[in-house]
Amino acid sequence: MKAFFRNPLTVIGCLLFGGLVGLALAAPWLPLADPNAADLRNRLAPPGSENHLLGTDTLGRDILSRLVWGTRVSLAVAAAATLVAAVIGSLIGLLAGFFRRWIDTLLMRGVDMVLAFPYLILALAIVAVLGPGLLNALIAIAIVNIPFFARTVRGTTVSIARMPFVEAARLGAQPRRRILFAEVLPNVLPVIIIAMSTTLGWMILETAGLSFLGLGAQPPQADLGSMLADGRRVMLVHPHVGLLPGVAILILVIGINLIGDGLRDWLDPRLEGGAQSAPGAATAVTAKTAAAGEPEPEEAAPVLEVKDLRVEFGEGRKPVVAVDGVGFSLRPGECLGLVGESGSGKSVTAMSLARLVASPPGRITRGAISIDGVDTLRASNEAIRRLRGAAIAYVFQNPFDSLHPLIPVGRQIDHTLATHTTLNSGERHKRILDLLDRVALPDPKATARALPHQLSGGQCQRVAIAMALANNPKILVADEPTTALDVTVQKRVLDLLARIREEHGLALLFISHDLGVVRAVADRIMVLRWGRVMEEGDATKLIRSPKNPYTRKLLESSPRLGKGPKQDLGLSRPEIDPV
Amino acid sequence: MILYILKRLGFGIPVVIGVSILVFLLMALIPGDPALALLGPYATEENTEQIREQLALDQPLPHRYATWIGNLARGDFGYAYSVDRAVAEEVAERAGATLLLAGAAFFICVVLGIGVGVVAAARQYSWADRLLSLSVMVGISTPAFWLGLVLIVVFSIQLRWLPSGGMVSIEGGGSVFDILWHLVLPAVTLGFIAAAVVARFVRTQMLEVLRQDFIRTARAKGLSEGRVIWGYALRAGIVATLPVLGLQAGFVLGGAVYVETIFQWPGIGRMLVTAIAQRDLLLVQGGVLVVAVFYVLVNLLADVLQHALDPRIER
Repeated sequence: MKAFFRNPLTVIGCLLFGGLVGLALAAPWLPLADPNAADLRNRLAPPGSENHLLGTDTLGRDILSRLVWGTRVSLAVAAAATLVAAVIGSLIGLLAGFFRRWIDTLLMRGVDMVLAFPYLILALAIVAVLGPGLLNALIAIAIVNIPFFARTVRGTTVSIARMPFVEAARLGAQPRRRILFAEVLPNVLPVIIIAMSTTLGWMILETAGLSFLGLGAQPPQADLGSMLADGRRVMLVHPHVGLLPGVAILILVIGINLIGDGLRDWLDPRLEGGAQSAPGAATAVTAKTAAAGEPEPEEAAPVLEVKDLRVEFGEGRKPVVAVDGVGFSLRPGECLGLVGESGSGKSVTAMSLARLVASPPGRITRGAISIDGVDTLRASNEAIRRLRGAAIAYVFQNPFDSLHPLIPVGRQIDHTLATHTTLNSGERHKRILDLLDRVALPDPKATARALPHQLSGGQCQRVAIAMALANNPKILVADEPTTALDVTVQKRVLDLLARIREEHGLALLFISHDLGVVRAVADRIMVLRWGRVMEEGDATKLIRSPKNPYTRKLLESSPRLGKGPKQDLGLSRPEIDPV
Repeated sequence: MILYILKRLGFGIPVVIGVSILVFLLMALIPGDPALALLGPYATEENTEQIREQLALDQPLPHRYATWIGNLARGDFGYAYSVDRAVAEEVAERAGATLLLAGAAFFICVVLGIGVGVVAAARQYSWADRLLSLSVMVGISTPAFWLGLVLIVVFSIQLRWLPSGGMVSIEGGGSVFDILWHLVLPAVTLGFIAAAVVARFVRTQMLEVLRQDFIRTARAKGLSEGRVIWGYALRAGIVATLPVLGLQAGFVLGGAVYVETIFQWPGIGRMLVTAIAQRDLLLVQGGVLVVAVFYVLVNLLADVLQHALDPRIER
């Protein structure tokens, strides 16, 4: 319950709604004027008049008093309609979702028919048949909202009926009716309550709407809607008569909607996690970072230098430190392998280079990074953007999820070309086909037109590599590029990466949890754990005589390094694979 | 693709039949003499006899339905005594005005709803997001008929910028510009409120999409933020939004009833309200049927569009 009131908006909602409901309930005992006492000498008094705080209406009746009494009527009708719709709709949903088969088909087809109408039009048709009046409006509004409950409840019932405890009850000798109401219903109840909180607001708007059209409350009875219609006639000179009832409706419904949001977050946190956040364009850099230093003018100067990098996640006094004091450099043609378990900080390190760590929650709090002479921690977002996909390119773990599912892969490559080059569309097209050919995709033309789901995982990863190579990057970061692939495909992709590195003189940063894979491609290896460097050194030496006990453990857990046919996959001598 | 459209049209036929049955049953189930119920205050001996025969009212329900549908197929929706002309004529004349209003409102709803939703999501938790989300909350809680009144008070009565009602000026009206001039306030009223729901949905949807891997890839390619959000993220987010837009088409068609009443817009919505007040059920029946069938078509379109935008969806 505490969690429910932690959101300030929910509290505001409770105050707004609770306040109005309290006033409406207490109406008979409040010192209010008689809402129906006409006083023709005092017609249309403005708000703030003596004895009439909010003025009087066309017949000189006290608006404040009428608002309170009108709210009472509107609330009563809306609440009753909600209850009726909830009971009937939930029952339909429960029966359809629990018994399935023909009961489901019959009930839900009926519901679909009702949904085929714009709901207000159907409500009008029902009122037309029943005749104007508040009770008939209530019935009409209840009926048009039944489908919403039926559908929502059916969906939940179907998934709950499949759960083990229900299955178990079914296997037992319990009558089905008992299972439905004793086992299923209590679990569906939160969903029904959330749906009720959603519809109560609609119901108030719809009741008021029908009354506004003259089809709901009939004089002398008045609800907020009919008061609004009343005021509309004198709107030219005395707008307050019509506007005030609308304000009351607005406050009531805002209150309900705020409470509804709070209820939903509280009862069903899956629906919208307040904590989820969309990362910005570049990782935030906080605190002071050291200058990256001038690149040395010698021939084999490093294209990438990282010094004392520290990356933290989360706010507050105790942020999680994902990377702490990592540093390395990479020269053209060189390959460094970053190894560690998940959570070791290897991916975060890689993402930090082009400031791709999701931010929030991540931020770089210390260190210096230089990519091709650009100090990325001090560069503007725009300068970083110009590096990405040009000087430094990435290949990610899951090829399916890393490509846009609905844009043809050729166009996705085209976008990075168009961003970083001045080639015209014909030249870009040629280059795309050339790139796809270079990563050994069989039919470049057809592949360029394909969507990711029409390609295999290995093909998608080749596309991703082609995309990364589009602008001849100096650094290629491959973050677990083979982990999501089949073993046979893994080998081919690794071969491809090794070949490309050789052909282009690329600096390759290769990240994997698997020392066996890393060993096959890397010249040097860096072992990370808990964001810190455990050991670093020449690949062959490190594998042969690991100094750090953690490296030894990693080696033991790597299946490819045991004796037997798996020991060497022949990866260190890249060949062009035939596909 | 064409096969898919045909298939969806095939699914649409039973829905349209269902809609017609529901409308028919609504009118047929009124207790008492059906002829008197349908004619209401317009029942004379002569036309009571005529309608009994025309609609086969002394026959069992299935027969009556068949007769009624047969008449509809010939374009005969009956006679509207309250306006003294054929229902089909009256509805056809007013359908244009409603389509214009609903179309304009729907356009505002789509552009504003998607725009606000995307901007709020892209700048989550910023002041812009808070302000937009608050406006959206007010939007989904505002009665359309009240917003219409507020806009009239502000823009017609106080500022005198825009007309407060009607579709054409009384003197020298009727030009395209004149009609558009009258369209602004009603379309904005309806469009704003319809947009709120869309904005809310799009924001949630975009927050989901912006956390996907392919967005990270797009950024890693060096694409501009504009391209990442409006090109890549929205392209993925729009697919799930289409059914919501279909729902909002229904909201706009229904909400047109309020807005047409407030702004004296000569459309089907206002016709329905008047016809109900005057108990002219044949006119109500015709109007409801036309709006419902149109709504079914719009949802079919949304469905086909969704398929076109995401070929992975097979249903």
